Amino acid sequence: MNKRITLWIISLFAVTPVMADIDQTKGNGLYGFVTQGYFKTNTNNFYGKSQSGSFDFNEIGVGAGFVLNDTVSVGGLLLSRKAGNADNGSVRLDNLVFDVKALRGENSITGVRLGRNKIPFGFYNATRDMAMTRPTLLLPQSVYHDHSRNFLINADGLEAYHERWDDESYTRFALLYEKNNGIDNPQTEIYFMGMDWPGKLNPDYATGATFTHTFNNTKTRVAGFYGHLPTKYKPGTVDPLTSGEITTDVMWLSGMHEIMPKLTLTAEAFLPRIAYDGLGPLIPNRNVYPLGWYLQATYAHSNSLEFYGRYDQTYKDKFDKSGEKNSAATGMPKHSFYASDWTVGLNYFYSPSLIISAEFHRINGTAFLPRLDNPDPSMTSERWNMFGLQASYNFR
Amino acid sequence: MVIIANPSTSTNAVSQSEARLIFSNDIKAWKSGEQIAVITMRRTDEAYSRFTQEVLNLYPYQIERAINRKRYAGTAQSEIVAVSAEEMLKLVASIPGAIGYIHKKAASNMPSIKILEVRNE
Repeated sequence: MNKRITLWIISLFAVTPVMADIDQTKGNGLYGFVTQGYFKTNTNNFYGKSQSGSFDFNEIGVGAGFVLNDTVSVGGLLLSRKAGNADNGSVRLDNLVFDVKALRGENSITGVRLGRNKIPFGFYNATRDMAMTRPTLLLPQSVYHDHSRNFLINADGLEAYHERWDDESYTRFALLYEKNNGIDNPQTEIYFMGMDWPGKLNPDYATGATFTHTFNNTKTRVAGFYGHLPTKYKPGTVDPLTSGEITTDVMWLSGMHEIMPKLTLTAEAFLPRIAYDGLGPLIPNRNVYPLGWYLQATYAHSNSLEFYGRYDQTYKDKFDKSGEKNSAATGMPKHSFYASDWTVGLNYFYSPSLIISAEFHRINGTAFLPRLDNPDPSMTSERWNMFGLQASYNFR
Repeated sequence: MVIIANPSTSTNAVSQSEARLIFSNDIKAWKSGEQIAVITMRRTDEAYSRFTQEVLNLYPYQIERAINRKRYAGTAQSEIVAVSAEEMLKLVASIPGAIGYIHKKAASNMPSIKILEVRNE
């Protein structure tokens, strides 16, 4: 813990002299946040030993952005995240982007973002760890998996984009060519291969395309994402698996409609295909189709209070919704292959920089329960409740 | 509250949705091609909260989320923060392409800025 605090102080001091030379009123700035959560579950563990109440969830970030000239700007963020046994709080470079606006028109910009980019799927993935950008305390776990989040966070490479606008709409397209950062770790191996095997997963360059379109006088927004992520498995010295490939193709669809300023309806769906090839008899060649979706309503009561409700659902294999076949094949309980979650909650804006959130979940199934907090799946319960409380402070 | 702009801007009126797109940093240039410089008050300023609700028809936290989603993904923001109404007037008057907002009374009879009419939807 002490090491972590020291790192933060060092990073703050490292940034300060740079800041002193740049005029704050020119819109360049230092920004950041601290979030602390509390989770209580009646059974199963979510982010620490939540059955007895857990404070083992926090997020700290410090970032800076500089507009160097009309063409080039740079922005980056250091992030530390502690989440039970699933995330250890180490300080990471979350993003560092050089944005080159190569062509500027009167109603469009074409450019390229080089560096460590956030993976831009869904409405929220790019800023999933910043409480003040999330509409709810936790993002819907059916689609924004936190139990297998590592390979969904960021990638190094380039994003070429084109954005255009008129009086009432805004559209952005982007093509991605990047190497994913979060592939070689136990969490991602558990997600793709059921356990942490002796060998290594190595990512190839991934390709992707994304678009966002805001229209209908900015009241309606749709977004889509497609990504192709090839990954190679290299066996360890003693390894029952053979050298093979796991290829993930992901389609993501999002829609939002606002009846301003009071009501916002949001729905998103996550439609991946995971193809296994050449890993040997223990992981036979096959295609698996997971599925996740949610529907959410947010009611803005006043300039300091909003309420929300959500239903979300996820299946690890949409052709085995009850989990029977996968349970028979793996020995894992049936309920670990699906989850549905009713959530109600509220955000209270004590001030522009302090947000308090609370939410209650009623959950059937454990598909998104972090395995690292629940090492023995046979000890988990199908039906569980969770209460979450969170305070988040941000500055800029 | 009224929207004000540098007199050099070619525009005399904006729609409410155009204003939302400008202040959330989606629209980045005027129709003439001139770059837009967004001037805003501090988040704690009462004028900020009044502006978002009266002119944009959004609660402050709704537009904050949109802006933070860009900032925290590494998109550097080029908005300029004014610490007082006087500074808002001064910045909008002196920066070509600037847009800001102010109490209606403070903006009347000021030749150094112009008031943009907001067309409601």
